[in-house]
Amino acid sequence: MNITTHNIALYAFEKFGNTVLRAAYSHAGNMTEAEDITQDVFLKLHEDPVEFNDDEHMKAWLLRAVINRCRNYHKSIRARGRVELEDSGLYEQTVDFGDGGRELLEAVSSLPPKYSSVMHLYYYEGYTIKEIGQIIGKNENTVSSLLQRARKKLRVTLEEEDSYEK
Amino acid sequence: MKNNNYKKALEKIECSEEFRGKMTEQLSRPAAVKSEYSDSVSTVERAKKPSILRYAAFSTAACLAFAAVGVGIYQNMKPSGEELTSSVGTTAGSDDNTHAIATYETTSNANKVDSAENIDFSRNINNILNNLIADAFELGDYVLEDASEMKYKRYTGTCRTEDFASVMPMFTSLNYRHPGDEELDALLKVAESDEAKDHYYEFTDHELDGADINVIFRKNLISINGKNFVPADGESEYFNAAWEKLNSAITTDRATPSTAQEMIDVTIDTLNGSDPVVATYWEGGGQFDRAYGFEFDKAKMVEIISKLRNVKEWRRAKESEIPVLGQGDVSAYILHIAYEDDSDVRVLAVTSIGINNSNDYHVPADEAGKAIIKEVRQELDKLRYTSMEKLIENEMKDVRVQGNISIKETVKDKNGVEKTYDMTGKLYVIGGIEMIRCVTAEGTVTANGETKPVKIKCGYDGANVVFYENADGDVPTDSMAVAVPDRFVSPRKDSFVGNYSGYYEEICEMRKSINAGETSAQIYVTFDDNDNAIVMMSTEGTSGSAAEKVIEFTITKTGLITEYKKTENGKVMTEFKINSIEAGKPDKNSPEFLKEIGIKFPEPTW
Repeated sequence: MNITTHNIALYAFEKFGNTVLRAAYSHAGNMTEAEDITQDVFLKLHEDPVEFNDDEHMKAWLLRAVINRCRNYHKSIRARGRVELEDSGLYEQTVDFGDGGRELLEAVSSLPPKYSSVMHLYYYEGYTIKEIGQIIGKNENTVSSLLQRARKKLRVTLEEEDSYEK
Repeated sequence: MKNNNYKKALEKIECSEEFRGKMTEQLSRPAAVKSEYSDSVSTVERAKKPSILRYAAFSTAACLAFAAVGVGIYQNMKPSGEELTSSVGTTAGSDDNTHAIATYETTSNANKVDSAENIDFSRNINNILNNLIADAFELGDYVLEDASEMKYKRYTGTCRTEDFASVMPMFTSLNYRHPGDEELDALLKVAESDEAKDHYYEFTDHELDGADINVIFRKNLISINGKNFVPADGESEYFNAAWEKLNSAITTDRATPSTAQEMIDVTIDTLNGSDPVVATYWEGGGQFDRAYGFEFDKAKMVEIISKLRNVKEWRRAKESEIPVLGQGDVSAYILHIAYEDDSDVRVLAVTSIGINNSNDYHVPADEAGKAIIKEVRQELDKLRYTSMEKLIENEMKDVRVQGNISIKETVKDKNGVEKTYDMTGKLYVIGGIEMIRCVTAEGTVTANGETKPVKIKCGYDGANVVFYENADGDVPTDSMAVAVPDRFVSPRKDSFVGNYSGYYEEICEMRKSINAGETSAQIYVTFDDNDNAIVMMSTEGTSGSAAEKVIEFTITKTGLITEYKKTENGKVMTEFKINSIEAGKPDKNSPEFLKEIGIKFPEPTW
């Protein structure tokens, strides 16, 4: 099955806009940057359409794309010290993320991209280790290792936050 | 991490109406500039929900193991002096030697894949190719010399992976998955079933990250007796416990092991003793093993290994593999250790199967140990070839012609001359590589109100059909048209006007080599005059030097691999050729290897 549509990027956005936004958010940790990353992903697809076998292929491609861009985003954030983000967070202040949800999202987004990406793909998207390996271009052992390390780092982060709050 | 909390929190994130409107508006406009974009995911097949029955499915395990061995692009395969130019970055009608970009989706009516012939194509063929690539790069190091004696000759290449486990054939039996916590109960029930009768161990190092070497110790199925392994949460505690236990077992209150047998004793006592070293499940889907994680401090590891063996000897050897005789339901281990430099030590693998009888290996001295290893080796051999056969049989049935394709595109060049390109062809897919074989290609030029036919050529770059035009319609002056080596150009190029349909594409990255850098590979598929598929894979070194290893093989349209050739650094290492062969009945003089892979496949449709 090949997806044939006159505007693949628009179709993709309508289908997976939230998916991409959430993936971007899980890395960026704020809505402003997540939207920028999302926009970039779909505009690139618009400029350079890709043929997809099916929606699943499209979704995997989009997730790969957003992860790649998030890596660059993290690099740029490190370079500029994250100073521009002070005015972000307005959206988050209006949303009820549930018990501990906000802290969890912040903790995940604070992880290095290689960890937050596997965490997101695994826990939110529900991909298997094998599938994650295909998406991010790593072998399964590496994905397993990344996931394990990510969980450990996340646990430490959350425990630190917890003790700080106490 | 509390999975549900994360999901619930993240689901609060949605595109705002403002953002959605803005994006819709932007994406509804014509794309401004075509730019380079390299994200690539060939396909992701969502795994079925885990089924314990799959654990024993060797072919799937092989797919898993070898799918992890990726390949990348090997640019040096193109002939020197020929410029390879993709369609990326070009614009339609940019100059007189027009090469217009016509993507399928840009015109809604003319460009289409014939759905009537559109077969639900499985890209699992990738697994075969990855398997063969793995064979070329890794398994090829072990060549079966005498099947009756199970003798292997080992060739040491420069292209070994750091993850020894993933490329060795016995690890194809290492089904592993990472079940969620909610699956533990179900898995425990399996522990007492026959399905759990085989299990293996390995050490495999993962990325070298900071000061630690991360080592995984895993067991593919729950132990038969079950008493030694208790799943539990709290990985870090268990990892620490594992490290402490292993460390203390090897280094504390013991004389320095001076023989392999002593080391075996220590290892067995530690890893296969009456008490669990560590036990935890890793989440995931698809395949399962029990995974045990260890993080070894480099300095400690050096210290330990130095005590275990003669470290200077190892440094000279760079690599060392130590068979370790198992106990109980574990047949044997192999501890594979390598030095990256004077300070880094890598533990590459411990498995339950012995695979090599080389003098370089420290085979346990006792006869019982040898007998076990020989037995396991025989099982390994059986396993390996059975897997190859099953894999190919299973995967080749899905090689298909995907459908007819027709593309019509009208562009204007920079002088405003309107040009129309019209092609028809068939879309083939093999090993995830898409090829369009052009059947017809016609072009017209309309200038000053007059329309004239022009000869064109067309190609396919995996996403776009690219049209080429030049004055005489013979060989395009545009370098793009000659970028692909002749052997990859359709052999039928002289039989129709549109004559260019060769294409290659990147599959995926090959993992890092031991020493440094990314080792990449490239794969080509084309067809000969008899519609046999010719597959070529090659690697390159990090320096962009000539191909280190190249494998070429031919698959007939009935699915037989009739020719196979492997070269390393230009030297032919293995070459098989069957001139006359009946389907399913390989020539009796053919090598053992080919006997196994030259099997009858379900007939492809092309």
